[in-house]
Amino acid sequence: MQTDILLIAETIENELTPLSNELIAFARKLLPNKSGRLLMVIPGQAVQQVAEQAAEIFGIPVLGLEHDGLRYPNPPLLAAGLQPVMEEVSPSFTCLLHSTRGCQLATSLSVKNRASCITAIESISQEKEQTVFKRSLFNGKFVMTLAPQTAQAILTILPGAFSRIGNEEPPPGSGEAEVRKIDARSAGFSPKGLAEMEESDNALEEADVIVSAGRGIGKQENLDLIKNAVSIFSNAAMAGSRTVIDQGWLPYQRQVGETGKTVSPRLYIACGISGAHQHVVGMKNSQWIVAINTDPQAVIFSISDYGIVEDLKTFLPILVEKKKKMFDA
Amino acid sequence: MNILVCIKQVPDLESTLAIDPDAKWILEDDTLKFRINHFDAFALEEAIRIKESFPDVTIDALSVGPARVDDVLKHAISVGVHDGIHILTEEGGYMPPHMTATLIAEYAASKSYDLILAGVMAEDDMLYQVGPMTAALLDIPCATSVIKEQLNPENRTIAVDCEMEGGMTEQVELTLPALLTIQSGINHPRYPSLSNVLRANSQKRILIHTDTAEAPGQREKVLSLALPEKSSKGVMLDGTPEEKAEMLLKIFHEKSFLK
Ligand SMILES: Cc1cc2nc3c(=O)[nH]c(=O)nc-3n(C[C@H](O)[C@H](O)[C@H](O)COP(=O)(O)OP(=O)(O)OC[C@H]3O[C@@H](n4cnc5c(N)ncnc54)[C@H](O)[C@@H]3O)c2cc1C
Ligand SMILES: Nc1ncnc2c1ncn2[C@@H]1O[C@H](COP(=O)(O)O)[C@@H](O)[C@H]1O
Repeated sequence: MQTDILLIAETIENELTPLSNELIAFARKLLPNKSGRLLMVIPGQAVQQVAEQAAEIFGIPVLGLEHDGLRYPNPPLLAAGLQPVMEEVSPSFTCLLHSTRGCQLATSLSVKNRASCITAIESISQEKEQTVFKRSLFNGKFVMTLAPQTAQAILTILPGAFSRIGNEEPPPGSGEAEVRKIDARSAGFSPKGLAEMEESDNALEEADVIVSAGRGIGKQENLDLIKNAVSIFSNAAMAGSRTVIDQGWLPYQRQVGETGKTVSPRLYIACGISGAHQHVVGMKNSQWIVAINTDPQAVIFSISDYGIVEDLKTFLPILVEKKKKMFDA
Repeated sequence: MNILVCIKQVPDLESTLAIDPDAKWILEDDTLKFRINHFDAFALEEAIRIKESFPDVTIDALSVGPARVDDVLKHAISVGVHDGIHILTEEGGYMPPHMTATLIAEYAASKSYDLILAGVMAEDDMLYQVGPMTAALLDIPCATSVIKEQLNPENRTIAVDCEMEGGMTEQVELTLPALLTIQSGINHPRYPSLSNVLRANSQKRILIHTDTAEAPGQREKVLSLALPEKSSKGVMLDGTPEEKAEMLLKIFHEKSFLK
């Protein structure tokens, strides 16, 4: 069974994670002549039903890999279970999601198969008959183009970059599902359980305006500047980037981003936030975005409707003062 | 108990960054400032906390890079690391993950560390690869994005909380030797005292020369580094701070955001 593209989906408690269909969108772009063969692997504890559904919806063959240890993501166990499949189908491209677990799995597969490994891919193009991949560096200030130099390549796909499955033809191939039990062990790695952060604070979901603080606020006392800015709006709340939450200056419920909340207020004001992808995925769907940053190169400006190159420590007090003068008189 | 912490020196992301003429990496001239990768500062702090909680722990810090990376090793010694190991490369620039991981794994294999800590990612190349790849090369268990750890030296295990996307964490137990990649927020890195800075200056680092031309082959070829395509949807406001504030307030008022 020769396969050109192997897609490794993620499941938690035998449910496909929502990002899994981004793999399909990616594969459609990666198949240049629409004649390549695809195979999607769905790992889990009991995945017969999910595998059948996926095969039908996506119209591609699906291989379920079952093991009691795969109820939750288990990269070393899955790497061991995937190895025979990799050898059987020898895929040119093995695509995973750019999640913490996806990356861990990608590096193991790369070492086991002496394959190139390109992580956090944002776009694909063809250059001189070779497929090349683009990814961001330096918090998005630059983009690097890379080409795999080995027969096999392991790729991880940045969430959100290939989210839209367009109107293209579904990839060729029939949608059959096969499920195998795997006999593998993950020596020295024993998952013990899963916990979800408690959410008790809905302030960010309910706010029209979010004023968000980043490392640029410098010190905790400067949160007062953000608080004062919040007070000029009619329905506003304060949020922060991970660096601010890590400091303990704001509670976890106020963290925006990949490992925090996804918000979409009418207005999002990013103060001293650089625009790291992990932050941006959590706020880019806000209706209006304003950024205040001392660095004119800051990537946050490229997704903002209005950009202000200023020190937030001087600018925010001016903004608050002016508001009083202009509207509260 | 021997711990190795892998630390990378990265350019300060707030300095003005430009692309090198060969368009493969950024320009590393004398004006560019460097610092420790933030995630590695958390890894370093975590190692020091382990040392403070258990007897007979020694920590080494390792960095791969050109002469300038000596600064981060000096910093590591000043906060409590025993030896600073510098795998010296001739030049800076982009190093493929497989090469970095191989150099680290080769050194680590010769020392049989019980625990290796790395950052979850480097802020410059943002690969998320070097930690887990090093573990795969050494064939030792690995947990990524660790936000809590509890070492258990008696039965040679370490219990960790690994962060996943969207607010979930997974608890995992690893048997030693193991490698963890450390996520931010796990601790608050300390600053060195002046006396320790002075001591670190006088202590020699262990230099290991390496010829990157001889190092394992590059599995991915860097074709170019470029500026991102401008998504020119936004407007940069011009003028004095007061003028900008007025413009912004008018916009806020029109869209009825204001109180
Ligand atoms: C697996 C993983 C998950 C992550 N999840 C998240 C997440 O959910 N949410 C999140 O936010 N991050 C997350 N991060 C972290 C992310 O990569 C960035 O490190 C973080 O978003 C940076 O926060 P920041 O913009 O506040 O700080 P920095 O990137 O340090 O930026 C600070 C900015 O402030 C500007 N500045 C400095 N001084 C001033 C001043 N006086 N006035 C105005 N501007 C100033 C600087 O120019 C700079 O642009 C995650 C990282 C990883 C590896
Ligand atoms: N040149 C290096 N020297 C030492 N450690 C490194 C180096 N490059 C990467 N690392 C480690 O690997 C982690 C992840 O880096 P990366 O895979 O480049 O994102 C970093 O946080 C460091 O702990």
